[in-house]
Amino acid sequence: MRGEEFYRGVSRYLSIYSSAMGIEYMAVVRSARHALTRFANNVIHQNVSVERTTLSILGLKDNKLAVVSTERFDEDGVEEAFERLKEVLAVSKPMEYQFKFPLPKMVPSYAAYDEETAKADPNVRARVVKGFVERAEKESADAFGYFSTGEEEFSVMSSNGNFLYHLGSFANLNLVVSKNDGSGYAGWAGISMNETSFEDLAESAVSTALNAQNPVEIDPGKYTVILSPDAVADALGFFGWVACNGRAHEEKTGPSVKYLGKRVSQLPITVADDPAYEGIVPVPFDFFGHPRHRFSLIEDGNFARLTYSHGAALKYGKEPTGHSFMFTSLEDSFPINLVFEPGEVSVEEMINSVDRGIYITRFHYTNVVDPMELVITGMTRDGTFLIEGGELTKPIKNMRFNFGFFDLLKNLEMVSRETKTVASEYGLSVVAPYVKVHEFSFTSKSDH
Amino acid sequence: MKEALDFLEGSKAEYFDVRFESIDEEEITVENAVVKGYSIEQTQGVGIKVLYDGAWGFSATNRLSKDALLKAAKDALEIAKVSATLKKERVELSSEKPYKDTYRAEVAVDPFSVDRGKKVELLVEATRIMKKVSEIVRAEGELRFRKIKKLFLSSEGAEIDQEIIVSGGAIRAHAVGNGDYQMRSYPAGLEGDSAARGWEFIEEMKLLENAEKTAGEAKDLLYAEVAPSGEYDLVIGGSQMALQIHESCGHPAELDRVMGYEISFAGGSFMTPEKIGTFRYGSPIVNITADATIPGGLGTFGYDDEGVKAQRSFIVKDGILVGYLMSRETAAKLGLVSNGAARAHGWWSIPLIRMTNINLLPGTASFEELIGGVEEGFYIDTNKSWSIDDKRVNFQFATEVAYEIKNGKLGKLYKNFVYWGKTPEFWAKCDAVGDESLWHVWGVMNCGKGQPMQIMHVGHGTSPARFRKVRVGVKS
Repeated sequence: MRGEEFYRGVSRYLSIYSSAMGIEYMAVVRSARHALTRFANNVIHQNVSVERTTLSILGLKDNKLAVVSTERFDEDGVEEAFERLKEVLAVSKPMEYQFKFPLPKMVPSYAAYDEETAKADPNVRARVVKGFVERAEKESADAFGYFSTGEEEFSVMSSNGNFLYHLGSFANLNLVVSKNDGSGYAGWAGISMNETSFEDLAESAVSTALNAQNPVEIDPGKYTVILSPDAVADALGFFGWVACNGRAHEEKTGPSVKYLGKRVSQLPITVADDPAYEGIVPVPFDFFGHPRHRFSLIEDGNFARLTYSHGAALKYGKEPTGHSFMFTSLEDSFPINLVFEPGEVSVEEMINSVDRGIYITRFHYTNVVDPMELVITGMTRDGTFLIEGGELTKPIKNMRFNFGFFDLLKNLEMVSRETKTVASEYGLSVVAPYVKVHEFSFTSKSDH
Repeated sequence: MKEALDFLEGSKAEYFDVRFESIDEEEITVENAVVKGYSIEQTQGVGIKVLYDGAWGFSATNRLSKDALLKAAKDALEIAKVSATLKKERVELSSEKPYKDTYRAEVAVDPFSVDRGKKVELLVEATRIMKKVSEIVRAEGELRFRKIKKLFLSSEGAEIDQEIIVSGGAIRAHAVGNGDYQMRSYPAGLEGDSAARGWEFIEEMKLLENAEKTAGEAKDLLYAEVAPSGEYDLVIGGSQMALQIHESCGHPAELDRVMGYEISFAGGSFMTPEKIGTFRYGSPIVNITADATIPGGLGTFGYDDEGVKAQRSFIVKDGILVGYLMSRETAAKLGLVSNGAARAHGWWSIPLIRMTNINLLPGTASFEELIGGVEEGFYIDTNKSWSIDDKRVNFQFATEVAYEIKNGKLGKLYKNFVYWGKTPEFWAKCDAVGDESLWHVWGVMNCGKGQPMQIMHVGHGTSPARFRKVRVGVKS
């Protein structure tokens, strides 16, 4: 990695040209080394390592904004970037509200770096993959998935004196074990490889695949379901993006119009954006340097609050909440360290409580059908099981579901005390428990 | 790059290629006549792919110093050596002529030469027109331009220099009222339409001329009835057909997906090799090609990122599955040669099998004949939601608009339209495809695949088409 001093050097160049051209700025510099080993059919088929550093500058002059991104960090590169900013600002139009950059703020510091993980070489990743493959082969099964490690520096700087620097490491993976007509899944994400047991992950995926053999077909309809943490995390991502964005609320284009401030679950559940939560891959500040602390979205079963980006906060007279992560979409915000806090029952108790229902290992290709009710569709995959008399009795073929996220919360019966940390779409992580939900709606079935 | 190339030449690598890419991007977003994002982005770097002892390694960097490039070459070699420790069989590549060539996409007006103020004014005016409708809370307009320069050098002697320019845009009206929220997009959903063309493509989109209609339809949707459930005949408009082809034909035809390389993420494919030549994918009028040679198509190029010349081949012919999208590695596994579908998102990405332009060839029906042949059904268009299972069979799609068809005539507007089915059953119901005058190559900018995720721009040539007795509506 380039080290903090490199970013301070970039900041000095930015200040020089900001003053010379009379352009205020916020800037984000990110430098990452991402390495990923991908495997299928028990062999490594893709093995990559990428180093990349980018500088994005949001320029402000006469209440007009422009963004220039470059990968040249020397004085000439920064000068050229400001020249471009100047050209674009000349043709831009003023914002409809007074835009200003925030003053520097104190930000929290979270443990986020594990050198062994950050520096892991291809041999380290191959050893993990080999473990997965050998476990699968022991059962005459095939392993598919990826294992990624790396490190990332993230620095925010501004013309009014802000300078923030964060260094983090990450590791994440997914594993599908497939045999005949059944498959199983395991996934994980964290800042250190040592936080998980690769053997346990392999065991989980293998045992699910073995139990998933010869699936039977059942009819679509409403069932009581137990959703795994992977499935819960998938749905939570949509909740964070579609339902918690303060801008959508102000424009009346999101489900918060109907549900904010209401009790959305009879259980005292809490869903938070929490960079301090154990196991999460934390981000301590946003692109505008706003600090990121625990921020509850659903509190004790009530839909309590929304995220506001820096732009949306200025526009709508709110406080920014530390969720601005796009210079090109200044009024949108989203929570990136989502945590669905654990409940009190065990997974075993949860399954035992189901007379007839369905256990879902994983969702596939989910998408929003109706944003106002946050209706989500998708398929089950990699291990869907019928629960009868409190036990998983037989595997079933995959089915398509359509459920309203707030219906799911309303029908929530139990939340497990066990949670898992799974990789999110942003390369970060989500912490989620198992949940039991009644009247979960399956609308069609697949052939496999 | 000389040191890196010399190093690899001196190594025992069986094959290597070095791909330098320089990408310039310009994106403008206007909301309610205010510029909310004007972004200029430049990136350049090198991706190095090495085959050693029958296994792959890849390393990429945007540090372009001699030392950094040499390090990337060494890393790629070392990674390949590690990959080789977990192989069952050696990677073989289908044979390919090492071309030395230059390709320049044909562009009438370089969009980067167009006055920036003119671009801003176009969007400001389009959004101003849409905002005149009182129910519109957000009128959006966006333009994007990309200039991609690539230099591909391989150990086999290929030297290919390419330049591709991409232009695209969209307008969207977000309406709130009557206790509802609806969105209407033009000319297509998501990121609109794009092409490997210049500013002339933007002018042909006629964003200004369609702004009032787009906003009016968004408002009308607020007061429209929710579409019913049942089985109906559908005439599916061009932009929705593009999505239908993309999800239910393009992705399952990717041979790496067929071979399991994507199983852990986006899934596999029902198009398994034993089906080639015999499997009935659709009705006999369904003909689908992969064609990277269509002038201006978003999936058009001179050579793919393995140096294979752009070409046209059939995936479905007369309704029968006949071919795949292939890379050199996957083609060799079937004893075939690549049809040039290995594409990388940028210098930082390894080429994967990606769609080029995947096209439903035109039929013979006029638009009036398509509609006129429906007693009771819907004309639907513009994608709103999409999902398909991990074999690419069970799908559910939603569209922004659905117009009732009764006795061969278009009727009133419905909202929240959803249809679903199974891929081969659905395509078997296709009984008419619009003629050549209705055919358009739609550009899709946001096709995601792979881990790490790569976003590719692809094209879909299609006319509107008619399908009988499709299942419509779901109850959650």
